[in-house]
Amino acid sequence: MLTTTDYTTLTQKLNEWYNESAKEKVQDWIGKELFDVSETNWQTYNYLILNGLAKFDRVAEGAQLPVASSVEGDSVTATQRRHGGRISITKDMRMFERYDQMQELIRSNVDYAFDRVDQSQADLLTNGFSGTSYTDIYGYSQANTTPDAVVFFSASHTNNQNSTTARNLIRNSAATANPALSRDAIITARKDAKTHKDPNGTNRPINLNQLIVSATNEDLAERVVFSSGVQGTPNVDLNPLKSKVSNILVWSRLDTRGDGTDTSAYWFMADSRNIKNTLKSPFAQKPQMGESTQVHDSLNWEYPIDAYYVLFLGQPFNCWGTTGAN
Amino acid sequence: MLNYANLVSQGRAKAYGQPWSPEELEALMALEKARSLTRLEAADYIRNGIKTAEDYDKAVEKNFKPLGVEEAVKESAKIIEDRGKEIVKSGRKTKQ
Repeated sequence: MLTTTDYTTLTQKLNEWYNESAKEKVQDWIGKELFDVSETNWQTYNYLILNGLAKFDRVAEGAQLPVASSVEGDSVTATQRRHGGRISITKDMRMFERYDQMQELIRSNVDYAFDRVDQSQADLLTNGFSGTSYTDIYGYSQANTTPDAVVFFSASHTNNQNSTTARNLIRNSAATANPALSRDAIITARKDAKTHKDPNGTNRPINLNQLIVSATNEDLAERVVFSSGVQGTPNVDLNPLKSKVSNILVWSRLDTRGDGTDTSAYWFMADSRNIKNTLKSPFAQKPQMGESTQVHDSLNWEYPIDAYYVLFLGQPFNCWGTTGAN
Repeated sequence: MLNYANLVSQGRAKAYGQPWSPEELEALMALEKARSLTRLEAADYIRNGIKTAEDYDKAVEKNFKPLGVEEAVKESAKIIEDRGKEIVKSGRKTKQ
């Protein structure tokens, strides 16, 4: 039987299991590949878009270089939210030294914690096509607009300098928005992103070199991108996408949204160097297990697992998306 | 939380805490372009339910002046105040 004198030893054991499980789970956490999950001390995180420095002129001999001043764009603030749960080590488990059950409890809950974080991040993408907010998997309202107050994937993102707009909603070569995954749509998205202009009218090319798909689209995505010839055709023309799209990220949480909607046709493209400027999820505390407390009546030892994080969208143009409906 | 003070003052959000719906934003862009309005001018018409260039023409013809956000806030405050005054004036008894 485990008694209160074994408390420290048991807690150490549980922590070991927690760390083992968390280490494995972090490797499966796809969201961290795309989202900025850096740690922050700020309870309220402030993000400001800079619409770009626009000064690089020809200068006469001996003249002073013109000063570049930053043009501030839209801003957004996001306040950290606490998420967590408690694992109960019951008196029975301690009485009969059921380490097998305890280990399973820890493993299962650690898995669940990371699964929830990952799903909440995937949902920010799959909810990015309509409305201005949605109910997240925790039951709270989550905004799905970028700092310009426009839904994440849009053909008309606005700016605070002038009335020009810019898109990050994928279309095909016939200008139909929300195309299904195809070679044509990938090429058009890459072209649209490369010709992206900032509010000053300067071409700021975005290199969409990462394809993000659901598990349903995995096979098609790999054939479209990695075929040596043009996918689906009998000719022997080479497939330039093979070298342009350097990475396919298969994210099974895109198949079904947290609310149960089938979103398996949705797909996304990203500029892998800058995607973390778009998808923001700062953590004030990554999921971790704390010291237990004993519940008086049941004599359970309850171990809390909690985390502080928040989701929001930054500058939209490093991530492009489509529902694949057309 | 978005910077609604800026967004509303530039016609880029419907009201404080309320972004344009994608349909409204599309209508706003179309109206702005079709009638060469500033975004702020077009935004006031969209807020007042005038969402197409044809409806805009009819409204202008009838000399319609759309309510801006500030005016709408003042107007709604007045409506709420008047409701209270009305009930007091009517002298209805409340249950003890």
